Amino acid sequence: MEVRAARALEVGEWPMVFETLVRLDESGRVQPALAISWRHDASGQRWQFRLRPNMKFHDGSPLAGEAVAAALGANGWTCGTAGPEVVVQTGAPVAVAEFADARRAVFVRGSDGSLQGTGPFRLAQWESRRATLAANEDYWAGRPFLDAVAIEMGRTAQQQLLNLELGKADLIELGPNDVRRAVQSGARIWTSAPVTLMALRFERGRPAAEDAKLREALALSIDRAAILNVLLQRRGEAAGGLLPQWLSGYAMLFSAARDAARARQLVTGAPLLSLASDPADALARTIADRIAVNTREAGIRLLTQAGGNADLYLVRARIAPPVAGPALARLAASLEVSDLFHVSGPGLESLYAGERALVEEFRVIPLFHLPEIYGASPRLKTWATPGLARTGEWRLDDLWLDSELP
Amino acid sequence: MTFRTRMLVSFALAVVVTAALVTWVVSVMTRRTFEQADDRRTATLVAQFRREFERRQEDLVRRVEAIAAMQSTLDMAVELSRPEPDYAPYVNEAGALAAAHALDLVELLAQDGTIVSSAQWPARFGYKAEWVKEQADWKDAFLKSEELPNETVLAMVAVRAVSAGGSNLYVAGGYRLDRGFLGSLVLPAGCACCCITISSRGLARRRSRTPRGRRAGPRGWLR
Repeated sequence: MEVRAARALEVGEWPMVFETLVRLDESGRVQPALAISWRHDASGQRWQFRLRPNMKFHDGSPLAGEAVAAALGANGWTCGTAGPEVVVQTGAPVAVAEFADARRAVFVRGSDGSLQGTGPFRLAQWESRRATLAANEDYWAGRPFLDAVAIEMGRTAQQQLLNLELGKADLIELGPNDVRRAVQSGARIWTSAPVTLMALRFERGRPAAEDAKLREALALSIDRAAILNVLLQRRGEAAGGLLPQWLSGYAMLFSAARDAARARQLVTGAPLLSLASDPADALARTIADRIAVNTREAGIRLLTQAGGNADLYLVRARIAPPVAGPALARLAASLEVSDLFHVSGPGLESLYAGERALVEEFRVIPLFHLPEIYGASPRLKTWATPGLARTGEWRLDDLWLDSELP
Repeated sequence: MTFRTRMLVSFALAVVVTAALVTWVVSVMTRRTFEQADDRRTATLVAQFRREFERRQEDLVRRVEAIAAMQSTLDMAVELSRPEPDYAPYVNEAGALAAAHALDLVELLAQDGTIVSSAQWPARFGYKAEWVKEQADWKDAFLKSEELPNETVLAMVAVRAVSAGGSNLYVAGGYRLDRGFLGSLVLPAGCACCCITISSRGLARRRSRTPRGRRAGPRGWLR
């Protein structure tokens, strides 16, 4: 398996190694995982989970309530045990789906200091750009079909496509432009729901960032539809809001339409602005160039550059499902606009109002919601579900290799 | 003044006048001969340069015709002749064609002038290039001002139309007339060419080198 970006050795990055108390199925329903049952008080702030019996970490140590409490306590919650149950005091009302968040996975430190999980695979080898996962023989839901998975990280799209065609890789990460070539080489395409936000972020403190009309004009001048249809090959959604429709349910209320005439009215004599994008992201660079073409029509000249300091940045931010509220708060934090994000109370209406207020500041201009796309070789087999969850997590435990094909 | 003296002065004056006249006639004749020779040499050099320039134009036309004659281009023309065509699959085609045919500029344009793909400015897809509709039957290469993301350059461009399904797909290919292009021209010894462009930012001069590698005088300017 090959991917472009290197993943850190953190529990949230490896859900097939580190499991949560509950998990979400393909329909978004909560299902038991490490916990087999749970209950909560009327306020939704005190949760009690009964753990699956006879569970062990990968190093053979038993999954005890104390270990679970310690792992969950790292998230700022107050955790303890009450008999066979783990008790979690969240301090604020939460939905049970928040316990399915990969960053709330359960782990312990082994005797050698390594991280030990309970998932279908254990980390057998770890290097900066290569990880080897080995099957967990004692996995509670049954041993995975694959004996081991070697994951090469930091590979370019060209390298990955070549290795897929040569049969050196069975699962690769694809960009929108690579899908056609992968299909031509016989690959099956697995796509998640849109889980990444691509947005423009104004750099605080720069003169351009303090000009509200300029920010709004820039947002109105961008032709998202053309970029989505051509550069992104229709893989994703145009974004007017920060959260995607599948997660918030109200994203369609945000307009992503272009209004070049209104943009021209808003600004006169705009200064030359710089727009930086990730030097390693060729697609982002092309999109930045296209945005510069769009804004030129509105009288805003953008000078695109790869990396470096700039007035604007074209950024990608991973959306962390499964619950809309915390996901939006994390998104605002990663985009450095937490101070502009306020939610007056629980409920979707408050969340919508908070997101609208944030978006209408135009300090962050949402552009697209993008899915994770993977290409699987013909010999990689799976049951009915693909090897990729809706939330973009790898589902490697249901995969196996057909050895008859090259 | 004695007769002898007058004779001497007259004779001396005649000699001086005759010498001056002869000198002037020889000087004029010589200058004219040199100027004629220089004009002939200049005309020869300019003719050689024009031949070389025309050769590059013909070479450009051949390359653009080669692109237009490719099966993949014809397939593209067929696909784009359909109602409400999808341009998205072809957005990167021009870049690949430019690299394969060693051209600086390649654009694929739909019947209505919409840029399907652009090698020199990939982000400009979907915009209209009305100039391509000015002629129904493009023949020779020509000079054109070409807008790029951060500058406007002078380019030698040729266009060919690929007809399919009652509509045209235009293939526009070209070279930037920059130092690299001028340096690639095969020029006679002692000849150099310069390209002067006047933009809003002032005068810019691009100059080739003589075949010997030293800068030559301003002879054979291309404006």
